[in-house]
Amino acid sequence: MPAQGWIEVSDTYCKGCELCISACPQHVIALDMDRLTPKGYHPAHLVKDGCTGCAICAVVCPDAAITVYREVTKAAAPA
Amino acid sequence: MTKELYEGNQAMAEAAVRAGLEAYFGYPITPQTEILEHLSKRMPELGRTFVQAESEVAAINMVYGAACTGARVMSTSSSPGVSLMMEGISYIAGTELPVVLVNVMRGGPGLGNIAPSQADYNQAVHGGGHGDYYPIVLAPASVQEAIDLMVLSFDLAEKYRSICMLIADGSIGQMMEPVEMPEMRPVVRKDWDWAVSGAIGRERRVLSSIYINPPDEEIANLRMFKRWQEIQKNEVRYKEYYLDDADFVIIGFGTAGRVALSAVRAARQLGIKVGLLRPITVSPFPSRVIDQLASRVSAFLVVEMNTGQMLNDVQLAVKGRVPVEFYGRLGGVVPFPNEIFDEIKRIAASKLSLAVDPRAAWYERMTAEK
Amino acid sequence: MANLAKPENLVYQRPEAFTDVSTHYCPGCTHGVAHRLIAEVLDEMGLAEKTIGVAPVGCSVFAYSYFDTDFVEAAHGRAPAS
Repeated sequence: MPAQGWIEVSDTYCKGCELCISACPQHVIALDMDRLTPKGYHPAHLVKDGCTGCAICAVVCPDAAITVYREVTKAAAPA
Repeated sequence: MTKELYEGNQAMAEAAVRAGLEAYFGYPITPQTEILEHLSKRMPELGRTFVQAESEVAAINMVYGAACTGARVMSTSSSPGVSLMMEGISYIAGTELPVVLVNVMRGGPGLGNIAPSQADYNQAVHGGGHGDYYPIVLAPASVQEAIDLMVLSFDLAEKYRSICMLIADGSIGQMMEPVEMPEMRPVVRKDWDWAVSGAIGRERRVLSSIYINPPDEEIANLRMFKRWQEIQKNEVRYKEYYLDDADFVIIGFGTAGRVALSAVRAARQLGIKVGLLRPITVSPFPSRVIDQLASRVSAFLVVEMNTGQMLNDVQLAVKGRVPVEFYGRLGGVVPFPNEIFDEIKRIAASKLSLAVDPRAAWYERMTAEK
Repeated sequence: MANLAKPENLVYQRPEAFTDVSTHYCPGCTHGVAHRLIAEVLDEMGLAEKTIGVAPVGCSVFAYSYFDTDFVEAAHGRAPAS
């Protein structure tokens, strides 16, 4: 069972460039077409379960708009 | 001939092509990159030479080399780029080569911004490069004038073996106006007696600006100075508006002069007797006409988009006979006609004094209100 | 899943060496990626307070607005010299 993760995409910085969407190995990110950021872009957000907190989206984001969380499993927890 | 809509930069580029430009060496910089782009298409089309150099320093030295062969050659840049060209410009002047340059002036100093300004007047007119040299400097105030002056500048440069520089503020480069383009002139490589081309069947020639023996350098400088005296005598150009019965006269070049014209017309509607003198050649400076005006008008107002560079040349010509006021906008800000109109009303209503420093007074007014 | 958003679960966040300014670069422009990599290194090596940035000319002429360090603006092509 892979670790479970969660991302938060900031409205201030996200420009809807979709680099994270194509980079995500789990294909769980999409643009939120119902909302606009203050700059007028559709921000990215998680649309389904399956995020593993791998942070590839955050690594590719040109605007450092993504904060990534991952649950600390018993296997990963520091001893 | 039908009029066409042209952007200032493209118009200047096309006018140069039609005047028989053989070679262009340049570098991109806002707000004049359109000149480079237009020529990058046109020159190869016509089998002429175009090179985008690796920097403005490289570009001006390419111009120097090409000019030594007697070709019609040009480079263009904007304020920071022209600063980079200064050494090359001095070399070109010292070698007495005909070269045409265009400076599309932007806000500065330093990186500044990409908005229009006239703050390179001193750099152009009073020699930004080292040594004693006097370029011919032309200041257009409309796209049509830029075209006409561009064609003229090649002829002037060759007539006097001199640098001819067009200083257009950024707005002239960027605006679009209906214009008449001149007919295409063929490229003619003239048989100069000074140009180098491979000494087949003639004595060899050397083009340089070295005169290692100081008295020889002095002779060269005197020769260049004598040529400058001829230019001053024959090539002054300016436009007069409402000067015949003017009480006081506004002096402004380029866009500042054009904006002032609107204000002058509005003032004339109110019966204020103001006139406008718009120098077209800022070098040679129209000192004689200002000198004549100074003996019959009561004041001058110099309007510029800088902190008063042409102001000094006006004051020299006026020789302290009447007050010279100043109004300037800086850093890329273009004045509106109503600002100059307010200045006209202020001058018409006040008693001006010769003792006032025009710049200090202007600075007070600029920073006082609001 | 939002209950995962706790400090002890944090894997990646915006580098400290960045200011809070949203960049003017086009969406997807890799200028942003390069900036972020530099900011991450500054954070990792603790160098932000000792850094003087030199901004070039071009889109990244405003780099001084994006990094929280001392900055100097350079002339065209002269950033390494400055």
